[in-house]
Amino acid sequence: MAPKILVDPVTRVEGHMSVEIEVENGEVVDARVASNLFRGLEKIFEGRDPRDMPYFTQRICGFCPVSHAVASANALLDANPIEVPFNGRLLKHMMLAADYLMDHIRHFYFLIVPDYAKMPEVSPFIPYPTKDFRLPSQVNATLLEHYMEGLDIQRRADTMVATFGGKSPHTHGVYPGGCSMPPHTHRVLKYRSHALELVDFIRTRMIPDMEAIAKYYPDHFEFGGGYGNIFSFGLFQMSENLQDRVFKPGVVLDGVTIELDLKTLRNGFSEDISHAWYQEGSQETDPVNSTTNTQYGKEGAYTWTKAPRYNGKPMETGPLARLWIMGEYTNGISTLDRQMARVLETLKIAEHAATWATELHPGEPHITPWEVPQEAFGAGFVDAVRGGLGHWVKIQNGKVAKYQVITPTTWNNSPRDKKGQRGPMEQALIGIPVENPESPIEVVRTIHSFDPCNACAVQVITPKGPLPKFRIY
Amino acid sequence: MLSRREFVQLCMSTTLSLPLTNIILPELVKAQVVSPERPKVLWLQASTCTGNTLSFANTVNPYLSDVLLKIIDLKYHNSLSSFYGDQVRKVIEETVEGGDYILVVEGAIPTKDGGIYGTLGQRNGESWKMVDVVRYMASRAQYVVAIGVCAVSGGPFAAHPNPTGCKGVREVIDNPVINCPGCPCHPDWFVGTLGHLLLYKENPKLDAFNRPVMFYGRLIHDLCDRRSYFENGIFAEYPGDFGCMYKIGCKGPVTYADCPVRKWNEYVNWPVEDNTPCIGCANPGFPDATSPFFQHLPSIHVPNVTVTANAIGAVAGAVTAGALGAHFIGNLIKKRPLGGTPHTPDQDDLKDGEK
Repeated sequence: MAPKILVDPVTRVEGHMSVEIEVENGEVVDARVASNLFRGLEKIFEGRDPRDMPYFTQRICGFCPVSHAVASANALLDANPIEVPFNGRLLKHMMLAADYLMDHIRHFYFLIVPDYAKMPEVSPFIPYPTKDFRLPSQVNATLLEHYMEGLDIQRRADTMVATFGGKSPHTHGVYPGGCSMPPHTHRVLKYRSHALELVDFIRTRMIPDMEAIAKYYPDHFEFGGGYGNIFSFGLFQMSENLQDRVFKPGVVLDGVTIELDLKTLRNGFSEDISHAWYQEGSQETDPVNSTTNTQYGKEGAYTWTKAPRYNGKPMETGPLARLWIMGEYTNGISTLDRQMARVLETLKIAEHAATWATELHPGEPHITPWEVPQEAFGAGFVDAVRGGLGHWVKIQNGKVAKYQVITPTTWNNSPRDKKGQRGPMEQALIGIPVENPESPIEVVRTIHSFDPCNACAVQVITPKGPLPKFRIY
Repeated sequence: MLSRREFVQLCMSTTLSLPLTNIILPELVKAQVVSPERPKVLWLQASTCTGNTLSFANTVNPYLSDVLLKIIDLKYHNSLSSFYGDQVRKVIEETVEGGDYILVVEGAIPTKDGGIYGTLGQRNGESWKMVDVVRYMASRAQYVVAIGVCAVSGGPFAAHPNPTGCKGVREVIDNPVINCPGCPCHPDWFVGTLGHLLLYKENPKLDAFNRPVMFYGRLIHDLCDRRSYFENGIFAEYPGDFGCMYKIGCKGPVTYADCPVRKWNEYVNWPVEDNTPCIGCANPGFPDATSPFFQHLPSIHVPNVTVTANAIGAVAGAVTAGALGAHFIGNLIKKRPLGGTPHTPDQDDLKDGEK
């Protein structure tokens, strides 16, 4: 039997995770990915005022709070539809776009660069985890200069969120009916000037840095692919029509791309807990109806993340999926392809952000007040930074009776299901050549390419009792 | 070197047109704090959303690159450290054995069922539970700073019914803890506190909740630039409407923090300026004591009645204290008497700072 190697914790990810791999003849032959933090937030959401949910759900994750706020606001809007003014819709997109920029730039420089570049010989960069640093010293020095610039410029994106949202992380401005801050000219100009500053930074720093890494680590395009089944809920809905999005909702299954119909979405979903620390009882059920209590130490289980499946298949989601479905990046699916797609997407979103700022209508309405319905059900889908995110809310007597969240990292980080199919990230690790089994940097780089967010992945716990069928307008 | 009084006044400054970087960094060099060796820091993320790390990354006084590479020697941080796996445990152990470091804790500590809901690496052949990690890290720490409301008192993850038994740091360790609440904590509140510890080698003046008075000493309602709308009874009817946010749930009258004058994210905006109510995230009782966020505080004198802010603050403060329930107050009393609501800094506080 191949020796097992445990990397616990994997750092430079959101939250706490670990990976156990088996290496045979210098290649990974099996892998188990585990999330090591559980919070039970959905239980906490029960009984609260529905209006509080866009705020509460942001606390799931400090990296992508606006994604949760928007998904939650969309779910509330679905539960009690009202007309959202043009400015309100666009301002929400602008805040979400800024959140994407913050996340992608921070992910690339804070979390990815130390995998490939030799950082300065000071804490927290030492001891180095590997000797496999291939960038020539001049290229490395330039990349470090950009890292330092990145440290200071990344806050601009958060400032863009706060310009319309009051503060960030955990912003205030996102409501079902729009955005609370009117598009005052001086704020719009401030937002746009920051967006243009970031466009410049991405063009002249981030993309060349990514290309340098790609040039000196060409073998990292050869592994880390996994199943190749990917999906996206789409992003930036431009009208009442759910499907009308700047990034299209879609699925790539066994090499075929099809549009994902968000109205019938639920039909293909299932969730499996055979290898997660939850009590058996709900075998591969509808995620919204699943009934789960924790059971730490359950035999065969190794993580707090459940295993969502689409038509029974493990699915990957994220920037690569979004660009692939749009036909804008089809080079391949691998460790560095994921990273390349993320960097290219950053530029695309920054350019959209700068453009949107010129399309607002100052002086016109920006929000419609939203009332809490007594009994209602709503669903909100949006692509968060790391991929498809769904929020479901059931309201009874004007309170939250049940709230369910399925995050992108739950898909990517999912464990085996009862058929024994590995999760997408686990599958992506198979076949990776490992130079030094003591410190398998190639495996860690591949995990980082998914940008896992464990805080998001493991808030799942739901009470007993079924939810009604979806009702999407 | 700056006197403590000057430093505190600088931190409390409402204009902040002058970047603190230009002042703090040379002061730290002069005081030989950052040379030849920078002070060691361990940063533990427990049950958290990483929001406080990201908020800290927004610091402009001083900039993040200055804090990380010129001011502190950050031995371990989950989001920044290059190393991973067992190396993490080794670095933590080396740092703790060396002693003389500042421990920063972000996130609540899950304690239910023996603390199984949060682990960090392996030690002695089993998963290292966060509750044990934080106790170990605190064992030889010079100072312990809790950043964000989760580390202070449990925060959103300890909200009812608190599924994982999350607690604030001070409830699981014996060291004195400096509390910097907020969801997230404003970068200035944390960096200013850190600067004070490094320059003067002692705690800044703290209130009854162990919060630095220089940042948490004043009531949001007293500092609010929409105060005149309150006095004149001009109230917003829904989020996004203009006016005083009191009627749609503003917790400014019971929340001690300087958001209105400091503002957030390069000082660009803050929740009330954004036409939304304050949700009281700097209250140790956040979120249970300050939610529903859009339901107004018990009616006191509205509208069209001029009252003093302190009267509102005292009444509303008492109401909130009642709403906190045994969960929160019980925990605080174990450590120290509450001593009433936190107070506004006065001349005595500033004189005290000169010692």
